[in-house]
Amino acid sequence: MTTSRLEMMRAMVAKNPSNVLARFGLANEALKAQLYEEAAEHLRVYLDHHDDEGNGFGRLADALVKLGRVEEARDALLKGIDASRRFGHPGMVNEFEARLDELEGE
Amino acid sequence: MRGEFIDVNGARLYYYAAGSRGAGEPVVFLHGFPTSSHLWTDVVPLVPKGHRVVVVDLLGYGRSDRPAGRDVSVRGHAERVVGILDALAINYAAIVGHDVGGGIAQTMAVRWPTRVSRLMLVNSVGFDLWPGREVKVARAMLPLTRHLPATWLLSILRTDLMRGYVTSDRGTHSIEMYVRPFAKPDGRDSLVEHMMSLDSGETRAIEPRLKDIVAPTAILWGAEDPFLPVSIGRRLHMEIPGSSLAVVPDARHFTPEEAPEKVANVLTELLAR
Repeated sequence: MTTSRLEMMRAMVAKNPSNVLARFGLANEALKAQLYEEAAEHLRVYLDHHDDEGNGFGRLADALVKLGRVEEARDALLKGIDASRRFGHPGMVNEFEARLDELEGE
Repeated sequence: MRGEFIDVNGARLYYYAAGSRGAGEPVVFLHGFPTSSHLWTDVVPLVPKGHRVVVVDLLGYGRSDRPAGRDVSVRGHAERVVGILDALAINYAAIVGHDVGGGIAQTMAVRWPTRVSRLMLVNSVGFDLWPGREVKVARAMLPLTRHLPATWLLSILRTDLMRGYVTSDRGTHSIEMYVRPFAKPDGRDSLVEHMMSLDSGETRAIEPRLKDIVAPTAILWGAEDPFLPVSIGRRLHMEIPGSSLAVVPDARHFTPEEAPEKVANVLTELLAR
């Protein structure tokens, strides 16, 4: 089922590459399929074009940690903290700060 | 299972948590008009293991605060549900909504797409196809009827709600639970506020954006729903890319109560997508 949904989202992005929400959807399907490089690529496009409220940065950090790119993951979390603070999501701020602390040890 | 109150922008909202924390994302259940978290009682134990479950009483329903002039539109409720997610440190959740709760879930998927991992709509409001004629008539009469005793309004509501059940015993029991908070004068005022807010403005506004919903979506409907016909479900299925539609024969409006296994089966399949 994951594969078919992944294909569906890939087709949606191929049909309209400027649909940033489709990029987000595709990234989520790629994360489920453990295709972290593909997920990170589409999350970056999404984040470049959409005023994300924080969670998109968190998902990018998930992908980057899996890829072993800790510095980039840290940067994504810092941007996520900034966005979630700006949009008034304190729970997300706390979670990202905790994750940042965890990354400090790596 | 434990119930707690949570403050969202000055409103005290009741929720209870169930399930078990695990690898799966949290699942949030939203009821509609004029029900409460009780609606999901028989579904919650059937949620697959490994998911934290949050069941909410929306503002003005169940044990949550009265509206007291706060926004109880679909959009207003959606903003408060996002506030609940924030307060519970839930970034990303599967949202399951019934009736007006389905409208709230659609709004969240459209306006806060990165907070909704999966979407399940059960006998949901949608488009400009609600509220039904009975609600419109009752609302038109409110300038007169709002001054009558609560018992009068509630007797009409009880009779109307009963049409949504196949089993009258179950209907009688649940309806009494649902209308209890509205039985006193301040409860009647809440009921009036809810009825005045039953408006399709938000679901009309988001209709052009349903095609942009990227969360895996399942739609489930009682085939004999007298309030929200299955044609709404079919149209939602057409509009939301990749969505599934399951219709429960012989079920009416209160599918989560009368066919909890069907609801749980569809949810389980959705959570595995």
